[in-house]
Amino acid sequence: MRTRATSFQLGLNTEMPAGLQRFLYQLRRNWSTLFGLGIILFFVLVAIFAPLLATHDPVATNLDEQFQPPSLRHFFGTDEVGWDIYSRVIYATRVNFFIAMASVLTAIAVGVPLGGLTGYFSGRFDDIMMRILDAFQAFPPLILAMAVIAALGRSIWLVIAVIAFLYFPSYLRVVRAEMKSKKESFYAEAARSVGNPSYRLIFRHLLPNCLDPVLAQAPLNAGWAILVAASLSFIGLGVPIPTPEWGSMINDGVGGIVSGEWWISFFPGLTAMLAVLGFNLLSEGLRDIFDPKRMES
Amino acid sequence: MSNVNDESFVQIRNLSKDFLIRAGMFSHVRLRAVDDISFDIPKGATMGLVGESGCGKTTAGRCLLRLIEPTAGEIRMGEHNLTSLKRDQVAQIRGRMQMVFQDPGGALTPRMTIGAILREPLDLHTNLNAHEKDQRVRQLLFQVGLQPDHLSRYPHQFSGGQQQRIGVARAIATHPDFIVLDEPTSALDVSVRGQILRLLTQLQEEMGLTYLFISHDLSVIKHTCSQVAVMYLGRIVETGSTAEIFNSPVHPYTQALLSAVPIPDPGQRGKERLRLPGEVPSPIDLPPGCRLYSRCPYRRDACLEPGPPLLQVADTHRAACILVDDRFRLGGGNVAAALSPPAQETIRM
Amino acid sequence: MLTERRLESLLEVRGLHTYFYTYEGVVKAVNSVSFVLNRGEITGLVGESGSGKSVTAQSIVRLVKAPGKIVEGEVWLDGQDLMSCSEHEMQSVRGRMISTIFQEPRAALNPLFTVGDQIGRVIQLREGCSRKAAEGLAIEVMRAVEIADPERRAGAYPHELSGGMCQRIMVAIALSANPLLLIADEPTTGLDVTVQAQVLDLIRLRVKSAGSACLFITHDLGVVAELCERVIVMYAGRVVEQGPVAEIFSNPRHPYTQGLIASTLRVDINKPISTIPGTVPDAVLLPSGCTFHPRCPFAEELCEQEEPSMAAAGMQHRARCHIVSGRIEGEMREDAWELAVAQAGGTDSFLQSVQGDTTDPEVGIE
Repeated sequence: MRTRATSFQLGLNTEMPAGLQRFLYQLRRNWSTLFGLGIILFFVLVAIFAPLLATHDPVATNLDEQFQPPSLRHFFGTDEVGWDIYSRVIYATRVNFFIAMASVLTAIAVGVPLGGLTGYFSGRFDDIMMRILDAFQAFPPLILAMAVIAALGRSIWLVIAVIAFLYFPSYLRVVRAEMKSKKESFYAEAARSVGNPSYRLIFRHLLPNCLDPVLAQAPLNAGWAILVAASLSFIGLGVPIPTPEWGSMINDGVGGIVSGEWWISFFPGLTAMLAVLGFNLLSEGLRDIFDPKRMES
Repeated sequence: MSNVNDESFVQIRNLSKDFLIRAGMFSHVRLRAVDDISFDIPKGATMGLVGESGCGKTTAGRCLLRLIEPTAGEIRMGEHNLTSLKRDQVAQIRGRMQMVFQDPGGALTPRMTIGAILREPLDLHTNLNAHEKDQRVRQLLFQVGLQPDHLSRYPHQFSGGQQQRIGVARAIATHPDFIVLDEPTSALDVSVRGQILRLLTQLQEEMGLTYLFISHDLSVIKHTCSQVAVMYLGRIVETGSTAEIFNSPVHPYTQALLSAVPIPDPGQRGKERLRLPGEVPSPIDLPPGCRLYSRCPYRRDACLEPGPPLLQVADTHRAACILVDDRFRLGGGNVAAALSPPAQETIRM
Repeated sequence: MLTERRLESLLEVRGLHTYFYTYEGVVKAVNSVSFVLNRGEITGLVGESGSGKSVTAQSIVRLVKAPGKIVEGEVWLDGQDLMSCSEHEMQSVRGRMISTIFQEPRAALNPLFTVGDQIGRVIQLREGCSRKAAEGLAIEVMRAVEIADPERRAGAYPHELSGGMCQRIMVAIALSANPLLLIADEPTTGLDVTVQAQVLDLIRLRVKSAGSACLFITHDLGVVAELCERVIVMYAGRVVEQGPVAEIFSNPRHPYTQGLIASTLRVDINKPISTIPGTVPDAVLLPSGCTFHPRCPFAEELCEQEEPSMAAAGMQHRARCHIVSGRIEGEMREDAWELAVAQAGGTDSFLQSVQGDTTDPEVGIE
C-alpha cells in the first residue's frame, strides 16, 4: 500500500504551486507586463539609491554652469540656475514615486472599505453614497485639485490628499461592483448560515475576495497620479520649489524649448513618460492575469 | 434508523414564501415560491424534500433556517419557535442548525484556509480556548476522513468530494441538532457520491442528527431518507414514508417523476412510462386549483377548484390529488392500481 | 432481402492523443483512444469529471481549445480523414456532416435573435431556400420536436424559453441537417428528469429515423442504459472498457466499470450505498501502470508496474485490465466488487487505508 501512494495523490494536487509561483509563470508568458514591471522596478531602485546615483546636489545652485548642454560632467545638462538635471531627475523619482504610491494607497484605504459597505448594503445607503460620488466626479478633476491647492497652499501632503481624493471613487466603484456579485455567492450564504454577523461576513469573507480588480487598477492609477502631480507642479500648484519634481522641471524648461535649451524639459518629460508607460503596461498585464475567464483549467 | 422516536423535532406549519419580482419601473409581481407547506421531522430522522427545479424546495430549506425570511407560517425546532425569534436571536442559535450546500467548492470562502473555515463556527458559538478549538478542528477533520495537514491548505487545492467533506465538517463543528442538506451530492461524481452519503449517515448515527435532505435525485432520496415530501410549484403534492412514496406513489406527478428516472439496467428498457407533456408553467399568477392541471393526464374539471388539500391515503401517506378522495372515478387508471397495499420493504440507511 | 442489415461503421477513431500543456505539466486528457461508431447506433461515452470524454468529442470535430493540442491519432468519418482536412474543409464537415449539442443550450443560441430566426437561418444556409420558406420550415421543425404553439414560440427569444425547450430546439437544429454524426455532450445534465425524458425520447427517435450515428456523452449510467446500444467507459483519459450495452451492464469486466455500476443508486432497487474509494487521480500526476490501480480492490504488483492493454472480454467486448487479459489470476464474479470491498474491511476502512497512505511522510508534500 505504501508504494501505491507515491503515485496516487487522492485527486489532491499536492504539487500545486504557491499563488506567487503561478503569478510569476503567467507574468513570464506576457512580455509587455514583464517590461512594465521591469521599468517600475528600475525606478524603485533608482529612488532607493538616489544618493549613490546622483552626481550633484540636486538643490545646489551653480550660477557658473547655467544652461550647460548634456555632457560627461552633466549627463542631462543644467538649467538656468545651474541645477544638474540628471541628479534632479534621479531625486525627483523619489518624490514622484512617493506621491504616486502614497496617494494610491490612501485612495485604496478609503475606497475599498467604503466600496465593500456600499456594495453589501444596497438600498438607501448605497444610493446616497453613489449620488455623492457622482457629484464629486462631476467636477473636472484638475480644476478641483487646483481650487483646493490654491485655497489651502502648496505642499506635497496636500497633493497626495487631493490625488487620493480624485481616485478613491474608482476603487469604491470596482469593489462595490465586485461585492454585489460576491455577496450572492454560495460562500457568502454559507458564512451567513454559520452565523457570521454582517461586519465579519464583509471584512473576513467577502472583501478579501473583491481585491483582484483593485490590484489590477492600482498601477494604472499610480501612473495617472504621476501625471496629475506633474500637471499640478507644471502649473505651479504642486510640490514647492526647490524640491525636484518632474512636472516643475518640465515647466522650468518651457522657455528653453524655443531658445534651444531642449534638454531642460526633455529629460524629465521622457522619464515621467517612461514611468507612466511602465505602470500602464503592468496594469494591463495584471488585468489579464486576474481575469477569471483566462484562468486555465 | 435506530434512534428515531416519534416525537417530532422539527415542525413546519403552513410555511409560505413570496418573492416580489420587478415587472416594470414601479410595479412588482408576486411569486409564491413556497405555498403553505407543513411537515414534521422526528428527532434523528431524515426527511427528503424532492422536486424539480423551481419547485421551491431550496427556498423552503432556506426559510427553515431563517436564512431568508418566511412570508407566513411557523417553524419550530426543539424548544425554539424560530419564526418568533428576532434576527439576532436566530444568529445565536445558528450553531444548533446548520446547512450543507450544493456546490462544495463554491460554499468555501476562497481566501480562507481550511483551518480558518473550520474554526469559525467555534469562534462564533463556543467559549472554547484556542487550544480546545484546535483540538476540536483536528477531531472534525478526522471525523470526516481528512488529514491534519490539510488545515493550512486552501479550498481550491481539494477535489470536489474533499471539499464537501470540509463543508460537512463545518456544519457539524458546533454539534448541531438539525442540518439542512441542500443537494449535497449532486455536484459530485458518481463514485464519490457514495462516500459522502455514507459519511452523512454515519455522522447522523453518531451524533443523533436530524436531516432535511433536499434533492432532485430520487435515487439518492430513496437511499437516505425515512420520509419524503414531493414538491411541485411550491406545494407538497405527496408525502409519506419512503416505502410508501417509492412503492406506491399516488399523485400523478410523483408517478411521472419516478417513471422518468432512467434505470441503469438495459433489461428494463421499454417499460411503460407515465410521461408528462409540456413544461412546468410559470410560477407567477398560478390558478387556485391543482398545480399539475396543465400537464396531468387524469385531469378533470373538479381539479380547477381551489385546493386540493393533502388527503390521507394510508398510515402516514398523504397526497394532494382529488383522485385519492374519489378513487372510483378514475376507472382503473394508474392511480387506482397504485392504491393497492404497498409492498413491505425495509429501508436501509 | 433487407432483413440482414450489416452494421456499417461510420466514424473510426484510432490512437487519438490530446494533451493539454498547462503550467502544472502535461495533462494527457485523451490518451490513445480508439473506437468505432456505427450508423443508426447510439454509443454512450461514460466517465466521471476529468475522464477526457468531452475532450474526445472536441478532438473529433477538431475544436480543442488552447492549451490543448491533438498530438496524434486518426479520425475517419465516412472514409474521410478529418485530421488531414484543412480548417476550411473542417468547417463544412462541422456544418453538414457532424452536428453537436452541448450541455448549456442557451449558450449556443444567440440571445439577440428569435429562435425561429435562428432555426430559419440554419435551414436557409443549408437548403438555399428563400427566407420565407425557411421560416415556414423552422416552424415545422419546432412542431416536430413537440414544442406547443410553434407559431408563437418561433417569435420568442432564447431567454423567454425554458432550458428544456431550448435544448429541444438545439436537437431540432442539430438534426434538421440529417448529419452523419450527432455528438451530444451531456445534453440533459442541467435538465429536470421529466424534461430529460422528453429530450432523450426525441434524440432516440430522430437518430433512428435519420440513420445517423450518435456519440452520447454522459456521466449517468441510467441514461446510457435507456438510450444507448454500445458503451465506451473512460477513466483518466483512457478507454477502459467498451462493448454492447447489455454486456457492459450484465457482465462488466473492468473493476472501474463494476465500481461505477455498483455505486449508481437506483430508484427501483434498495441496496446498500456502495462507492469507489479515493477520487479520480490528478491529471498531471497519473498513477503508474494501470491508472485505476490505487482505487482498485483487485490491484496487484503488476498493475502498478505495467499498463494493461485492451483485451477481449466477449463478443465485441473489450476491457483494459490484467485480469481480463489473464496476466493476473483472478476471478471476476458478479459480486466481485462488493466482495473485494468487504475483504478490505468495508469501503470505509478501505478508504481510510488508501487515504492514510497519501499523507505518509515519505510521499512528501512539496
